[in-house]
Amino acid sequence: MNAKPAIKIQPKKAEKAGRTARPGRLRFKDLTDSQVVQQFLDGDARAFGELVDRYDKRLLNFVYRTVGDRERAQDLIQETFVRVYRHLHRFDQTKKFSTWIYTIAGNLAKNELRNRSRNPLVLFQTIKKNWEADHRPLEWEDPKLRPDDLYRKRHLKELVENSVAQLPEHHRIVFVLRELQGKTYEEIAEITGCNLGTVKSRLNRARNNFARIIAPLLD
Amino acid sequence: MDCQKFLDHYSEFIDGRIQEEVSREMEAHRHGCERCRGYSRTFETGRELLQELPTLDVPPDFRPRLDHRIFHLEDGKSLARPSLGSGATMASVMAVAALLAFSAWAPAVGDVEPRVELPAVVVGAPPGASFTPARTNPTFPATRSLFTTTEFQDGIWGDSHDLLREYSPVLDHRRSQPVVRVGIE
Repeated sequence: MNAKPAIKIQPKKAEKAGRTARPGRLRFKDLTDSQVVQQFLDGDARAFGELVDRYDKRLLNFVYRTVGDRERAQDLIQETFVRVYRHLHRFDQTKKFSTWIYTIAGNLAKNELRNRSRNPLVLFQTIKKNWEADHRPLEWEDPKLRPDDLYRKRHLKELVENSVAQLPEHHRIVFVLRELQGKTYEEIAEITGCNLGTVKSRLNRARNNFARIIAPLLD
Repeated sequence: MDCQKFLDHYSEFIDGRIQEEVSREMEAHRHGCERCRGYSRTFETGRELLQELPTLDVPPDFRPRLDHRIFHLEDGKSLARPSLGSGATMASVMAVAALLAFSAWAPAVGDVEPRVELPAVVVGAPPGASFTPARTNPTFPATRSLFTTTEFQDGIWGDSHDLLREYSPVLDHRRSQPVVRVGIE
């Protein structure tokens, strides 16, 4: 078993500010996930930072759409990366890293929903979301659209967002993975631990439910 | 192809996961059925709106927090890692603790109690003078300044106290039995 090195993850601020990334990080850009994982297991601590770079935003959006709480989603993604760090030496490298990390995040999200159903509470996030919608400064999102069209589109997006949240949990995860994360049926089956038939059935039902919920809103 | 079959296969149809022939049937049904065309249009519009939803960005403090957690993960591991020094220290601490516990509990657990023979403490006459119990009522001096030690002692050991001393079963017991004290040596 390879000893895992202590790491220091470098923030992406430099990249965001338009500065060039450090040469050490650049060399990971052309590598596949498996190769980056191998680099980390071989003792290159910066490889873990590269994995975080590749997956943090994707996982955050996946978990956020699943649990519906931004702060909680951030905590769960932190936990996902900590678990990846601790157990990366046990990862079967014949499989896809992305599927493995999504499985960890998905399981944490499912646990969160299960715990929440046992201890229901009113999330401040839901109140805050409405507050933001009412107090956000008016701005021209698309100058080609008229203000009333803009307002309607924004309103529709919110309704669509709420429609996803209304889907049953096991439908929602499959729906988000397919529609927002672009996963294949086979990947979804592996991430959710279901067989392919179940994934097909759940996805069809989720899409059907989604269409049924939004139909009156679009009329 | 009927509407129910269209709905059953719709998901795989839009993902291109059904046979070519079934796909053509689905397409033909959609073209001819207003209801299924409306369903398809609704779903596609909703899907477009869904994909236009803004995505969340990772907050700036995400990396430092993760960095911090992983640093402590490593820190915890190094503390938990077994080494000769820490192992020996722990073993010696445990040994001393066990010894202390044994010594504290051994008398209570074992059959043998330590028995120490001590000379009997007998309350006799006041020191210095040969004691003769006074049968008369004690007399007290008029003032405290005139009250000498000897008179005081005689007064204390007057006949009321003498009676107590004579018939006290405790005193008799103590006279005949050696005092046994039970405890740790």
